[in-house]
Amino acid sequence: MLLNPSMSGPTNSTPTADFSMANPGDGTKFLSINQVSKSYPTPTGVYPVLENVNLQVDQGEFICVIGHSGCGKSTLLNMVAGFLEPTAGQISLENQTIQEPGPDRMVVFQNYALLPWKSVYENVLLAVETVYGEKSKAEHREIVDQHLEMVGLTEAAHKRPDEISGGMKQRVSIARALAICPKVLILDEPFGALDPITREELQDELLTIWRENKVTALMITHDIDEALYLADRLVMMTNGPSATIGEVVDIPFQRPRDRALMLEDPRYYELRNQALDFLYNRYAHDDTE
Amino acid sequence: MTTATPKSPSSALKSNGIHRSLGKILGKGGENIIFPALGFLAVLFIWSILAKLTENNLSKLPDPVQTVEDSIPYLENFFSTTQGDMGIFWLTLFSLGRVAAGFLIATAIAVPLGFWVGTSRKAAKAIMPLVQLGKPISPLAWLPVGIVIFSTFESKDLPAIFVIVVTSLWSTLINTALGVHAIPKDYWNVARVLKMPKFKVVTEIIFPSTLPYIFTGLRLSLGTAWLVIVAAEMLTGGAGIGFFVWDVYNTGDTSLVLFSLVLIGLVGLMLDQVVVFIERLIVGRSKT
Repeated sequence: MLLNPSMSGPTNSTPTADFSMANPGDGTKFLSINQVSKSYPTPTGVYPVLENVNLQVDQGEFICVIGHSGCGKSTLLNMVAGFLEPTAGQISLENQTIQEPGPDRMVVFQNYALLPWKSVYENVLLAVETVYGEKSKAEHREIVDQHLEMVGLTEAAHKRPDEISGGMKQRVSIARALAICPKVLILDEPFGALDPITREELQDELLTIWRENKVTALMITHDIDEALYLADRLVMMTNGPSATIGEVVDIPFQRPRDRALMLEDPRYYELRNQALDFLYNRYAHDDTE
Repeated sequence: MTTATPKSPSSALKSNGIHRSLGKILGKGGENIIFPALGFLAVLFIWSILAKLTENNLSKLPDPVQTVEDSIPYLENFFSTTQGDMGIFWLTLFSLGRVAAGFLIATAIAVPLGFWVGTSRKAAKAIMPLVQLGKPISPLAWLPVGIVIFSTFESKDLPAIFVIVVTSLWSTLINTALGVHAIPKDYWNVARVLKMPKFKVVTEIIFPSTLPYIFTGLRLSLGTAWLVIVAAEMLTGGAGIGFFVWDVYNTGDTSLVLFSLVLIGLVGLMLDQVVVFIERLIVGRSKT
């Protein structure tokens, strides 16, 4: 286990060389969501899902987004992925406006989205050879092998998705996502369907991988404890229609984090209560709205 | 039990398989023989009654025994290649050849068209009304059209093949399009996020995930094609099982008509099983 006795000090001041949090000087951020709104036309008029969402994300940051269902979390991440276009405002990655999906913003889908007729190996290979068309076959194989090893699936490489467990499927999905070296990793409730033990295992693996690959992660979750364990910052969204970011909370626990020590830290409960208060008192889910 | 140690899974599998097949023969095996036999007996009984009823007619229905007796000389002639008295094996093969030609051409048209209809709303709007109009037309009604189109070739095969092409289009096209519609959104999103080239989307995603649907379409198409070829050959003439039925009817060999019917049924059953076998070979590997 990763044991870290000194749990004090906010994360954003840890000067680890591994992931420098801020871009140099000029104020432009790595990933920038500016005044973004999204609305859908319906027979009864325009339905505003999101309104005026602003968020600046540093390179290498781990962001968790939390909110009630229907608040537009997925819509927001789908716009970052490029599957949807904002009705107003813009999202840019390294000063380039996002207009379409691309492998620099790879998605780990909630339902894994593995192709059932391909083996674990072939599923990852498909992504690798599509994105790295210029590399040789030997290099493709090497990348696939390396990433399957990273998620501990070397043994299961030639199994098909329906022959492995949900946790293993999500590992394949993560391996596939990271094999193409995205700048941003987008995870839409990736562990929602997993049992608590597998969930914790995968959270630990995800953190290790995230740190080693220095990737920026945006993740939707319904689980406050999961968010507190994983994230540098917790983004809490208000209810729709016209949902927006209600509050952004810095998670100060030093990395690498230890679950047991985190639970002993009084700040953990402060943060947890803050999030619960946000979700269940200030923005309680109200169906009459 | 014998040597089924964990180290020899093959022997464990084998003995397991033997046990299972033994169980089948002894247990449900009885049912699997008795009830089909009862069904066949019932048919033979009704057949015999009909034969008795038509006994005094000008052209009478031969009873089962008579039919077998009349058919045996013809069966000895099974592989004969004599002009004008060709063995029924070859006649069947000619018919199968026409079905194969028409079916393959239709598949080559219907599958890509199905992909197109399934992926493009505009294509669907352009093509689906034609499909809905064309499907209910009896394929045989296309025969005169085929004869006119291919009149310059003076061939009896081409109009028949044309009819089979028309026959085999619809089910394959509709099922392929349906299969494309049924592709989960996640698969499309994978293709989009990887910026997969169009060709690769077809070969890596659309084709494999629609394959079970395509096979359903192919099975339906081939079944109908075999139904239609018999009727088409009755009209076009030329060597083939359909014309043979018509020919022996005209010469009064009703026994041989009945014999042909059984043969046509067996070939149809075999064709269906061949498609099922190929499907299992290709698609089966993606299922557990």
